[in-house]
Amino acid sequence: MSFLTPLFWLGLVATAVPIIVHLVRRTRAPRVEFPSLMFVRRVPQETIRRRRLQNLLLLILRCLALLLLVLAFVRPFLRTSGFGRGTTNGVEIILIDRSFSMRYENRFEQALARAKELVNERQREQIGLVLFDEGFEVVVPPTADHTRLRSELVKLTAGFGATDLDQALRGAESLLDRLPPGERVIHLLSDFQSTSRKTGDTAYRASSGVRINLVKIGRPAAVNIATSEVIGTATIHQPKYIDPLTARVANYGPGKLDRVLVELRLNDRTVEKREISIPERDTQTIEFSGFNLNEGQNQASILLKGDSFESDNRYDFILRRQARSKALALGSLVGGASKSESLYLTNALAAGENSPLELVVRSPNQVSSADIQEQRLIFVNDVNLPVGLAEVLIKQVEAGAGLIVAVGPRTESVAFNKIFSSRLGLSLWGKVDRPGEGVTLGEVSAAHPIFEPFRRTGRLPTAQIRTYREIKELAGAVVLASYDDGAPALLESKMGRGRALLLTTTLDLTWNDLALTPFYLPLLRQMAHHLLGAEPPLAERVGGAVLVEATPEGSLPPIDSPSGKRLPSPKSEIGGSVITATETGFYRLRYPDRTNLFAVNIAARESDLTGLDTNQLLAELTSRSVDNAEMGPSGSAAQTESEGPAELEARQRIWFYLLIAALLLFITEGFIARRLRTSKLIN
Amino acid sequence: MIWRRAKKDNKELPKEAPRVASGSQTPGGPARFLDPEVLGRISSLELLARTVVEGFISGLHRSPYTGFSTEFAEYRQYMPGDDLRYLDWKLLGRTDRYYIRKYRADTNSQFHLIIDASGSMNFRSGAVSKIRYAQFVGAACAYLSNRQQDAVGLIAFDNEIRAHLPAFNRTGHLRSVFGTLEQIAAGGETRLSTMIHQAAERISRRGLVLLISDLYDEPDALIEALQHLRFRGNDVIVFHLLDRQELDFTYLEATLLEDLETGEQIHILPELLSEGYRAEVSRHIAELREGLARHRIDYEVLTTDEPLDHSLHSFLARRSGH
Repeated sequence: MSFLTPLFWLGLVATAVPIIVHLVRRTRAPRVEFPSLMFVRRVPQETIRRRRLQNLLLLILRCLALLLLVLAFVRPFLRTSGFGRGTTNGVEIILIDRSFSMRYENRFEQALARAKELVNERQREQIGLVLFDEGFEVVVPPTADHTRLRSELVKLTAGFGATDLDQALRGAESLLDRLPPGERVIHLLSDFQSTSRKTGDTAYRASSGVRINLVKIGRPAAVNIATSEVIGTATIHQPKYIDPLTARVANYGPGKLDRVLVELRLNDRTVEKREISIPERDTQTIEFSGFNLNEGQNQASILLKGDSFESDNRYDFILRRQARSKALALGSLVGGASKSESLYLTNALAAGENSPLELVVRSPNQVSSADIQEQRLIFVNDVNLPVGLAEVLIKQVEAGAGLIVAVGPRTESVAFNKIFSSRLGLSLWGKVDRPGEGVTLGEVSAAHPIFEPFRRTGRLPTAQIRTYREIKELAGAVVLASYDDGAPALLESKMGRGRALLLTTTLDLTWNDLALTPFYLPLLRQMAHHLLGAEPPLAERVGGAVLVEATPEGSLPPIDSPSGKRLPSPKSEIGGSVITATETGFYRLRYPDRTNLFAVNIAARESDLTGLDTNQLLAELTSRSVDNAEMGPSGSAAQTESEGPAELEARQRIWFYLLIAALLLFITEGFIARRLRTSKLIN
Repeated sequence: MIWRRAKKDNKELPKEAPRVASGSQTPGGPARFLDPEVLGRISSLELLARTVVEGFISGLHRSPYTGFSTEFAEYRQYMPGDDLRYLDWKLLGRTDRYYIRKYRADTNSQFHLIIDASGSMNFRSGAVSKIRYAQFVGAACAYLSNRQQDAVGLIAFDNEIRAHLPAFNRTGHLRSVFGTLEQIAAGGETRLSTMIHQAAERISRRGLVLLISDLYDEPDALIEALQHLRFRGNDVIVFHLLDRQELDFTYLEATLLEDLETGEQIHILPELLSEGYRAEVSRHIAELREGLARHRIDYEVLTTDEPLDHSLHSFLARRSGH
């Protein structure tokens, strides 16, 4: 039994009143001198005893009536009545949502209290305890040791992850599947956010024989705002941040919010503040620009003020300012740089103030080995390399630099294959002419990072390719794009710690008009970015995997979490390892010579506290209609317990019967008291 | 003058003080002097006794109590209307003169006043305690007896004899009796029947014995003790003196009663106890009345809120028969 307004238990003090009156009256009887007690002692005591018993009965009636009155005011209700509640003699799994949204108004603590009640209500059942968000953690496997369950419940804390109800239910059912057949119940304790469930084929459906008990925690949230996303350039190469840094602030509540304060902070200093209004269930976009960044990594945050749930009002991210990477384009330079085949390449990569590359065009005989060793990206643009220079170049690539090779009319197959064939895993053959309209890119590997922007727009480069070089004997190279006749257009090979891309046509207008299309610049930049290494994102999400690069010695750096805890070192793999972000804030990777930061925020959908219709949810989980979800204990495969305490109490109305009982007791007491008084007067 | 003062004093009484009045009283008449509440304001017992007796006597139609006893005192000339029984026939025969023989008051008769001065006699629910009322009645009866030329004696006791004045008729003895009577203070525990036996042993000559007590003892033992007095040739009058509260037991709330003699305490619920208590008291009185009547002992129940004429009537009725 639970109580809706337990503070009214203080009213129990009132039951002490008749007792105190009884005692006080007894002890404060006036002392009167009397000549002799001779006759008093002769009066039979039975009458007095009977009257004392009657008085005691009156006292008990009064106390009981007051007790019932108090009990009515504390508004008791039963959670254990009905199907799926109480003892089942089977196996039950208690699934507790530990996602970030459970931090709202102590929902997680409420869930723990309810879980404890569930454990206390059971006697012999095996109960398992599982925490879930996007992940799934078995805290206690099914056991009949309820003491252990209770002790474990005390230790649990809420997390920062997003909710995935389906995965949690699937995991719980798989736990039950490992146990012998019997009655199986899953108690799902969650706030049932509307965003916590997948739809479609991946949605969970309960197997037959599994009962699902939905326990809704918390009341519908009123107001919540959060920064759902920050979009901007993570790395710039000049002091001033010129591109707009866009923050999207969402209002998940049912009413319009005025005077929401949005603040951009850099390295714990306020850069700019804005005051905005956000309509109900809408998003407002704010742009910041023109601020300066320090060299290196800058801790940035968007802070919001305007609601009571402040845990999601901070969005952290990292802005970096660093020098451009050196790049070298090796070309023939016949006719001067302005007429060389590298003109379009140079213009494409050097365009814009925020170009990540500092590109230099040289002919092979103009560069030394030392020049090669400074480069992070090297273009070999339709030129044949001396063997010595080629060896230096290959070593630089294998050390981690990027290589883009464009073959054209000047590229000799024999010399090329001698140098690159074994490293790139392919053989270069002669040219293939496609007279007329030529060919276009017919198929690309859309999942590859180079084509990510094109996949988003849904459009492929439409350049006309009149001539290309044929590639055969593919051994290690991967075709990223092909012409519409099926011949490879762009291939990728891994060379040591570096990568190489091979374009089977020219980068100028000799064999195609690619340089004249709008796709030329983004394509080249995507290729360059890909080879320079993926630019780190502004921020990670809780639950996301973060790559931790190993030191040159191959060990992983110590990692400090945002709360200051030193994380246990993950298992080191070649080049690094992956950790899962579990907290919000700034993680620190303590390398010997530097500290790398990455920011982690909650999943935006966790801020949306709008609740699901649990009846509808139960119907979906059990593939039954909503009406069936309310079926009695005998026939249903699942039972909802989604009503909150207030609803349960309002439905059961136990207080009403208690009030009636108290009233009857008062009437009885009055009747008896009146009879006693009347008999006294008669006497 | 006394009446006026009493009236004035009466006005000054607190309102809550119980107003006890007898139905036989006549406002402004002499019986008013017998009101114990008024008498309580007279400090001298002698004055009180005289007031009571004179007032009481003058209120009677005929006084058969002016003494003609056996001891000759003087002659006086016969006047028409004199009772011929007292004519001295021998003197008439010798001298042929008509003389009436007048006799000195009878000093052979003794009056013994026995007062119970135990702690229970201290009780009062009204203006006058039982011991004070006993003093009034005793003083009045002593005065009356002295007026009849009787020798007056006094015995007061609680758990032993506290005061004993043998009966004398000499001048000033009555004042001693009043003085002793006035100094009696109730207190202590008593075994009434035992003390009556002791008092009976101290009374050497037979006479009239008046016992004033609340009679808290077993009826059989009391009757036996009083029978002892009777056996020694005394006429015995018993005034069973009670407070109105002892008879009616009108407490309303739960009360802690404390025995005035033993100090014993007991919680009572009056609504439960009153009826049984009153029944017990009535039975006690009935047993005493019946038992004492069997032994020709006069028994009267007096309450402290009654005027004294009731007790004096009883006394004089017995005295006349003596």
